[in-house]
Amino acid sequence: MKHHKRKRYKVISVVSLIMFFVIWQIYAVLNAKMGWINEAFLPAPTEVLVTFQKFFEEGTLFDHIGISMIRILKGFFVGSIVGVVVGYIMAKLPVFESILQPVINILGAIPPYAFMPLLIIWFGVGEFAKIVMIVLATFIPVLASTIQGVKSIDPLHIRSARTLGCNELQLFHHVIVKTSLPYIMAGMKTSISLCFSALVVAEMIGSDTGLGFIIVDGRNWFKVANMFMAMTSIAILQTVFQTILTMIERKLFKWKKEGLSSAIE
Amino acid sequence: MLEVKGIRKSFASSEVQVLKDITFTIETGEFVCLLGKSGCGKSTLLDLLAGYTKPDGGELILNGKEIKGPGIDRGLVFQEHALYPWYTVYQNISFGPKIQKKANYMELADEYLDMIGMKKYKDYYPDSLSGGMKQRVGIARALAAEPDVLLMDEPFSALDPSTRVKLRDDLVEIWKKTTKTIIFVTHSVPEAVYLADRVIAMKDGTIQFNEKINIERKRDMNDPRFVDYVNRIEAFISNRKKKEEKLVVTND
Repeated sequence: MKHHKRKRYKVISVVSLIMFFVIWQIYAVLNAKMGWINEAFLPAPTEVLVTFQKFFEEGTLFDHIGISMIRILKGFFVGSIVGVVVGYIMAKLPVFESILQPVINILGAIPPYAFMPLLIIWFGVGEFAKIVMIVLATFIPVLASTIQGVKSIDPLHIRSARTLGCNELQLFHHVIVKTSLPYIMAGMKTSISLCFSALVVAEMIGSDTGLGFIIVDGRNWFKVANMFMAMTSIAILQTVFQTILTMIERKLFKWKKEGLSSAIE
Repeated sequence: MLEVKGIRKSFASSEVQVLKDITFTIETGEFVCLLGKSGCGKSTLLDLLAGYTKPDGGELILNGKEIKGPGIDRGLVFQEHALYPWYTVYQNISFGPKIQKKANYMELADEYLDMIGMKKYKDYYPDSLSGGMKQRVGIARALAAEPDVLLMDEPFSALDPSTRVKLRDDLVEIWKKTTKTIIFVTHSVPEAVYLADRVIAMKDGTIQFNEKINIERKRDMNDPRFVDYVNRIEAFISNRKKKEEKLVVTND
């Protein structure tokens, strides 16, 4: 019964997504005939597809997407690693937490995007400034969730590990990592959307490649369809990213889902 | 043999001595219940035996060696089962021997899985088990690490009454099979009398009662000897007697 219902909702969601594009298409076609607003302002989905094809034939589509992806991946991984390491140290050593937390609170109150012009002055318009920008966006959520994860470790789990014969390394592997990983993954998922925002901001200011650049370039030369193409690409890429993370999560944390769904009592 | 010699313990936060010169010995293979109301010091004593804390004075000696910290010679079963939710029942039970790099860890896990009658649930995760099942896995996990002594900290107090009764019998069976020394902490007098070879009852950090329970197993809670033990121990650890006396006086 429950399964049936869930399936039905899924169907509704898919239909909703299709309808979104259908209505958009119908509006664009009608607008072309009736002339409500300038056609160039809101190109039809089909026209966006044509733009995709054009970029593909020019051979620049995958260049732009590739460059953006590499920036995201570099920034995301560096940011995640720094967040996990610093978060772990802060959770384990209260001194570090009391030193770093106020500074991080102050810096965290500033939207990371506000740093972009400053980063360009410091590091120039090259790749480095852009990646630092994405690192900044990833870092805070991962840090916060790591601290939460390490602090949520059950003291009884540590006690029992000790009496069962764990050394420090085994304790770290079997208890600390296992407890905090779900929290870290949740933090990483949150930071993905911030990462993409950071990417677009970084590419809009001082770049001549990437999806963010296409958007700014589209504004400068009034190529609205290009803007839509870039935005669609971002939406697709981010969805792919989130899906991959969710799949990893499901695989790694099978115990969470299975444990609760098959409960005997 | 476990020797507890003149153990004293107080906590920095209060002036009160939680344990005042506690002395007793437990023979190998003996099933002992440490009994008392909350705050009597029984859990503090168990923590000391487990090696999680250190005494202010006195000695704890297990099989000739002083207890200096947590060790694999003492297995623990907690009130909250403390199983690893990310490992299956089987992985939890095999955890100790595997960590200790025992070659026969799989046989050990199978043996204790079988002993608690949960072969069928081998691949289940703890969150999908009932409270009683979790506690059983907790016992098997502690035993599979092959400790000399099993320390149990109110392991059944969070369970519903019928499960509790069932697990008591199961524990006695397991104890008979493994012949392990068991120190079982509880605040329930009937539970202590039902389970133990010997009951050590505490009040205000001192031992009030330390006697063998001379009733053959399986014990009947309605047996007059059983009731007598319960009443006697109850009188030692509670303040009820004084109140009753007062009541009598006022009625006169």
